Amino acid sequence: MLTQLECDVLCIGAGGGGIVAAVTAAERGARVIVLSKRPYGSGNTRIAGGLVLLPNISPEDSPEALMRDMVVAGEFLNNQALVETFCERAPHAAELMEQFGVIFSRKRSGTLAPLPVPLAGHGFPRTLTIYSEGVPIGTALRGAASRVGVQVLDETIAVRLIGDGANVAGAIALRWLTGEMVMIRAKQTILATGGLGWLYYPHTSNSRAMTGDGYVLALRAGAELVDMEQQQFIPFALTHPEPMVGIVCGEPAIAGPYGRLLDAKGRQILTRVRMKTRAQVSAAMSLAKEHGIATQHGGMVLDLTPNLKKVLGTKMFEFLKRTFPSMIDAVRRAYGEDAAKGRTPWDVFPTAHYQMGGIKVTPDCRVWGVKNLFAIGEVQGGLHGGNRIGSTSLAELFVFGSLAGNLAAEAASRTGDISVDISTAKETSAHTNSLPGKSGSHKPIFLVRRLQRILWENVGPIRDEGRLTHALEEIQRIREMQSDVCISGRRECNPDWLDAIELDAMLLAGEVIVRSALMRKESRGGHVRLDYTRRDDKAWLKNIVVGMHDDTLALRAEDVPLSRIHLGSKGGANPLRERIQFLILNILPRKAQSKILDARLNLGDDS
Amino acid sequence: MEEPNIIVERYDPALGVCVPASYFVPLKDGITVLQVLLYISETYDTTLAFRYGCRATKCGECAVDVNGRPRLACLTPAREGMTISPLKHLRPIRDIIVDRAPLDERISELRLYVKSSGERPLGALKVPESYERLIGCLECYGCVSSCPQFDWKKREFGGPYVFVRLAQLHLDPRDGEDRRAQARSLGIERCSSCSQCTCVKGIAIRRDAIGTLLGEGKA
Repeated sequence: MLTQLECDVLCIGAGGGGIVAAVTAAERGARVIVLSKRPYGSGNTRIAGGLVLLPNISPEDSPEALMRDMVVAGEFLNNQALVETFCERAPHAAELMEQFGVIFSRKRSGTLAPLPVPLAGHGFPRTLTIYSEGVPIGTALRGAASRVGVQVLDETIAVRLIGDGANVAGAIALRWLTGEMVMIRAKQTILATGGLGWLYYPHTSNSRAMTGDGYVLALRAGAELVDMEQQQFIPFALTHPEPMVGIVCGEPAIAGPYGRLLDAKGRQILTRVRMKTRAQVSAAMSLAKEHGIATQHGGMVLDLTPNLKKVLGTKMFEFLKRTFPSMIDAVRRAYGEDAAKGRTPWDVFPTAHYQMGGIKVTPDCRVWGVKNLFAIGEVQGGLHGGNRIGSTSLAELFVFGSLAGNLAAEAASRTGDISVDISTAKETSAHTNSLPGKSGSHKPIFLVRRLQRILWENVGPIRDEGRLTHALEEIQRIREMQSDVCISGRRECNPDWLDAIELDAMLLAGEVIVRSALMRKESRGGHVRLDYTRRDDKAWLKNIVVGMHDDTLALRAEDVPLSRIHLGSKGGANPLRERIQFLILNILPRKAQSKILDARLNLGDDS
Repeated sequence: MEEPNIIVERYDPALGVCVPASYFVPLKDGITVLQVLLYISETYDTTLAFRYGCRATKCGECAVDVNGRPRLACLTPAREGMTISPLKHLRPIRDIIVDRAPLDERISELRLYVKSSGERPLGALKVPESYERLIGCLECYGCVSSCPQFDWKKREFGGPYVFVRLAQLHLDPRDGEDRRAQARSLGIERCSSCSQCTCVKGIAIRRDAIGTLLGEGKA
């Protein structure tokens, strides 16, 4: 039995990107359906840190300055045309979020309270925060979807895009709670499925929804994926106890001005941590572990205690605690009250946080080589190149969600009858439908766990040819076992069934990552190779592009067009200026230091 | 095999009741209810249906009853002899999964979103402190399990989730609707002599949400 539905615009994914696109399209009169794999509004957007870019706080800031920071931090792999679209529209992202219902943190006087200091990689302070971090965004998205009457199919996973040749016209999906298959015909389809952090479980900050579904849906529909070897590992996550492994406890910024990052023998592995990008810090920690000097929990030591001896350090830590309350809360639960107060060191290691690589798109989010298909948010590739700077990911959801929502609604109004190759669609549906009751040897969840372990150990924050080749062989082995799975025959709420569908996506997404990582014979951005430790601009200022033809992956390297920002450009904060400010501050009496910092960090404001 | 030390009350839709199932789970230090569910699923029965998302107390998917009280599975330490069961007062679907739809639908029915009178976004806004305390609601729907009055079938009573959302909107300086009147029409006076509702994240629902809507104190 295959239920059939029809709409103008189908949004696959119900985090920030999917719902903003859906609401925008519905406001333009389109009939919209949203698919949400998990209970809607509960995904990565809700669990995010709630840092949102506002790039016009400082009068000297500009879209060009932001673009330079993003491309320099991204080590020049970024799709600069896409970055340009983003930077021009980014000032409106925060406005749109408040229109959706979010309230950014205000001072007691009522005016906005942006972070007074630039996040790592940014040249200017450009970040707003939200009371309770990302949680209220989830609430606001659900409210906005209800306000405009978007139809949400909850706990529904898309298994294949449908259409005719290179024309996409909707999707086949499983409604997991009831076990019913649905075919949704749509004039325009928007992929907003998020990333693939769950491929590295438990070493990830992501929701368990993030199994890479969107990359695979697109690839199988004829799209190409770009720079899939570029994962962002955020440097500071918990290493124990077991339930909390991989949960984020900080940006590089948390180190504060005097925090030290040490190996298990107490040697400093990186200086001036808080000025470094996430990729730089994660790579240094992974290299130290590689040299066999990790703690018993496999981590490094982040010692914040030197901060507490100075006024500046104390005030900065106070400020950071207030800005990232859930991270400090996680530290408290894992390592105790003294650790949460910065009095005892933290055991930390990087965790998979964000996928920079993704679906290749035009500057208006249309998927290359496929008609009637858009990709937005983390599933999209190219915006962040080799490294994403903080506070851009939530903004991108609103920038590109509204852009794609508008374009899709407009395109749908001009699209006539949609043609679907029904026999292929029914075949896919029948295949998925036949999974329950398979009585093979392997429960899908164990294959998922094996794949996750393989990817973390071999394709994690540090890589080399041997490990990558091993991972590829293991993926092939798991694939063979995949043809012999054991799935309960129950139809409603069947975890085996969901695991089997997700495993299929995870295997292909994993293979694409490994093959791309094997091809890039250099270290750049989030991709750190032990056998090619240097960035090689002569040979590898290239995007790695993956397509699929007759079920076989095809890879090629394409030159990156450096249309606006050229090699040698500088971005990020000026460390010299900051050092001078610190020096001057430190000459002042403690009371004066305290007063200046309270004012600058809005600390006095809170009591 | 060791003595069972964990009970999971698994709803069986064919029978229409919860069937208790006992398992042995080694309770290492720091292990959470979520780890217990994962252990049971990956050791004894992969068909055990339960929700979880972020493992980090932010997504709200893993709300369940532990010994009869709503908890986030990822935040709650596991204990010998504990009973894990579906949230009460919502329709159970299978094992410990409940139907979220009746409360999802209330968002549009009751217009639980900001009805702005057109303020300029990012402009000056006086945000009450109690708003900051309430806006952390994860929409996990755990609170309705602790409410003696709530029943998903009876639409005339709002219940703690709806009252938290109405209070958020009442305290939102941009919202133009009379949320107190709305709360009254949804039976909030029944809450005035009751304070049994609890929040898995520690929101003081009775004081900050219901108290605000009833006009108690200075709020």
